[in-house]
Amino acid sequence: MKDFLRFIVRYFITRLLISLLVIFIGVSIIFLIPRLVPGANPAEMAIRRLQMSGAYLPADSIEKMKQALLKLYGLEGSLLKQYTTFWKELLKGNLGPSFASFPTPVMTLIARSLPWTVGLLALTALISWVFGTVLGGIAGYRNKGLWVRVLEIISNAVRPIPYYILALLLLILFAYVLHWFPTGGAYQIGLTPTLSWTFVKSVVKYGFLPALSLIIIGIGAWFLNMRNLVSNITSEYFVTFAHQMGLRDSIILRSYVIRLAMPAQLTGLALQLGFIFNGTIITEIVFNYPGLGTLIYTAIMQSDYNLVMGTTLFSIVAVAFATLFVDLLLPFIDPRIQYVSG
Amino acid sequence: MTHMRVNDLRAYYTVEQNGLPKNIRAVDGVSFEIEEHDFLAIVGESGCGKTTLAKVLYGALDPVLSIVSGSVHYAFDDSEFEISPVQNTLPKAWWKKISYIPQGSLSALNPIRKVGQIFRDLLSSHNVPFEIKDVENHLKLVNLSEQVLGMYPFELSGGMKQRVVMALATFLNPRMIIADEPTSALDVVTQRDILWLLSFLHLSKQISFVFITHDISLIPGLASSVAVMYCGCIVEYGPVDEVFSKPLHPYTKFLLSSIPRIGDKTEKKPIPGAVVSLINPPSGCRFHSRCPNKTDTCENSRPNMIKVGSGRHEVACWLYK
Repeated sequence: MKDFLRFIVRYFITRLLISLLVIFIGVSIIFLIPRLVPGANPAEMAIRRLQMSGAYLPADSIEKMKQALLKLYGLEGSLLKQYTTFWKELLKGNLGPSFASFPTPVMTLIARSLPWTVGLLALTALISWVFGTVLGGIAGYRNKGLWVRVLEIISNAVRPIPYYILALLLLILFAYVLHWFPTGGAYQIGLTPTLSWTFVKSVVKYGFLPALSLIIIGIGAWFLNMRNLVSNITSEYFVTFAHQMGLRDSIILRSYVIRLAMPAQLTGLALQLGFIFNGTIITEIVFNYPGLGTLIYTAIMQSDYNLVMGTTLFSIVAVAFATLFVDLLLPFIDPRIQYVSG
Repeated sequence: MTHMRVNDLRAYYTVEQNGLPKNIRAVDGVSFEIEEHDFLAIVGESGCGKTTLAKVLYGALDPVLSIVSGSVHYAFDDSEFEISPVQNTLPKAWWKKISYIPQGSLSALNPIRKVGQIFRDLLSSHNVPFEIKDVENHLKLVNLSEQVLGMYPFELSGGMKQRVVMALATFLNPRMIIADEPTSALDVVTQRDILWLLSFLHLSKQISFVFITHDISLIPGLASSVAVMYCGCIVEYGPVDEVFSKPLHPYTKFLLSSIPRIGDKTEKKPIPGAVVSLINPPSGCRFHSRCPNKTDTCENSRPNMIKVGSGRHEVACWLYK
C-alpha cells in the first residue's frame, strides 16, 4: 500500500507537470498567433469600425488614435515585454479588457456565455454517452433481435447526416411547422435570470431543441463505437470460456465484457468533456443560442487578442486536465495499464 | 457404469463459399463408450476433427457447428443428459458434472479479473458459498500458492494459467473432464507437470477424462484406452497396452513409428501425403490415398469397426475382415 501510494504520488506529479507544460506551451502559442496575423492590428480594426460607421477622421489623427488605442489595449513595446506583462496579469487572474467591446473585461464576457455552453454541452455529452454506451453494449452482446437491428439501422442512417442539416431539420419541424418549441434564444425575452420555476421552465423549453440535436448525433456515435468494441470483446475466447464454465449471463456481461470496453469509452467521454469549452458554433448559430463558440468566432474576426486568449485558455486547461484525469483513472479500470513514472 | 455413449455421431460445420452452403464434415460417424473412471485419449493429426469432437462432446455447439445425426448420451450418478440433432441438455451439467479444459488456456481467463474474483464469479453462478479456505486448499492441490488469488491472469505464466484453469475445472467436483490438447502451448517440463497433475486428478478424484492430443507419445502411462482419429472418423480403438503393443490400422502404425526412442538410429519417415479435405472426403476408407496396403475394396466401401483380439480392441480396416 505504501509502495502504491508512493508510486501514485510520483506518477501523479510527473503527469501534473507535463499537463502544466502543455498548458504553458498552448497559452504561449495562442499569445503569439494572433499577433503574427498580418493586417489584423486591433487598433486599426477599431478605427476602421469607426470609419465604417460614417465618422470622418483626418489622417494625422488616425495615427495619434492608433497609438492611444494601443496604449489603452496594453499592446505597446516589444513582443517579449508584452508577453511578460501578459503572464504577470494572467497569474493575478486578470485577462484584461476586450478590445472589441472596450472596456468590458474579457472575464465578464466569458462569464456571460460560459454557463450556457457548459450547461448545454456537459448535459448532452453525458446523456448521449450513457444512452449510447448502454444501448451499444447490449446490442453488441446480444447481436440479435429485432430492436437491435432497428437501432443499428437508425444509427447508421443518422451518422452520415451533417450536423447542421439535422439541426435545421429539427428547427423547421418542431419550431416552424409544429410550433412546439421556440425558434431561438436561451430563455423567454423579458424574463430575468433567477432561480425561479418560470425561468427554469423557460430555459428547459428553449434549450430542448439544441440539446436534442446534439444528443441524437452523440448517441449514434457512442452507440456504434460501443457496439463494435463489445462485439469484438465478445468474440474473445475468455468470454466463450466463461459461458462454458456456466457463469451467469449478468456476470459475464458486466465483468467480462462491459468492463473491458470502459477504458476506450471513458477516454472518449473525458476528452469530449474537455472540448466543451470550445463551444459549438453551429448549434449556437442555428438555434441562436448564447455560448462560447460565437464568442470565439467574433473574437478571432475582430482581432480581439485578449478575448481569443480568454476563451481558448479555458479550452486548453480543460483538455489538459481531462487527459490527466483519464491517465489517472484508467489503471483502476484496466490493471494492465500501469503507473510507470518517468 | 457407462458415463458417455457416443452413437454414430456426425457434426458438420456449415459455411458459405461463393454463396453456396458447404459442409465441413469434421466429425463423421464416431461411436465409442467411456466407462466410469476411464481415461480415454483421442489422438490424430492436426485437421482431423479432434477439437471439433471435443467441442461437440462438451455440447458447445454454435450457429456454424451443428449435429447432423447420431447422439451423445451422458449418465452421471443421478442425472442424464443428451446431445442430439434435436436437443442439447448438456449445458445444464457444465462445470457441475462435466468440465472442459481448452486448447487455448492461455486466453481462457479474463485478463482484468483477479483469479480470486474469477473463483467468486464461478461459485456465485453455481450458487455455492465462497469459502476462501476451500479455494486455497484446492489451489494447493494443483500446486499453486494462495497468492495467485490476488493476481491478474496477465501476471501469471502459461503453466500457472493452465493450473488455474484446471483448478477452476475441478473445483465443483465434476465426474468427467474433456481436455483438448491442454499441454500443446507449454514447454516440455511444464507439459510433464500438467500431465502428472491430470493423472493425479484422475486417480484421486475419480474423474473420467477425455484427453485429446496430437502427440501419441504422451499417451502411455497416462490413458487407459486410446482412440485413433483420422479425417473425422475413429479408425482404431482399444486399451492402450494392446493398441501400442499390437497396432492394427496402418495409420496407427505410422503414428507409433514416429515416436523417437533413445538409441533408435533408424530414419523417421513422414506419412506419405497430407490429411485429406473434410469438405470432400474420399470414398471408401478415408485413409486409402495414403495407405501402403490399399486394395480396390478400400477405394469403394468404408470399413466398419470390427472387434479383434481380446474383444475390447476395435479397428476399421479391410485388412482384418
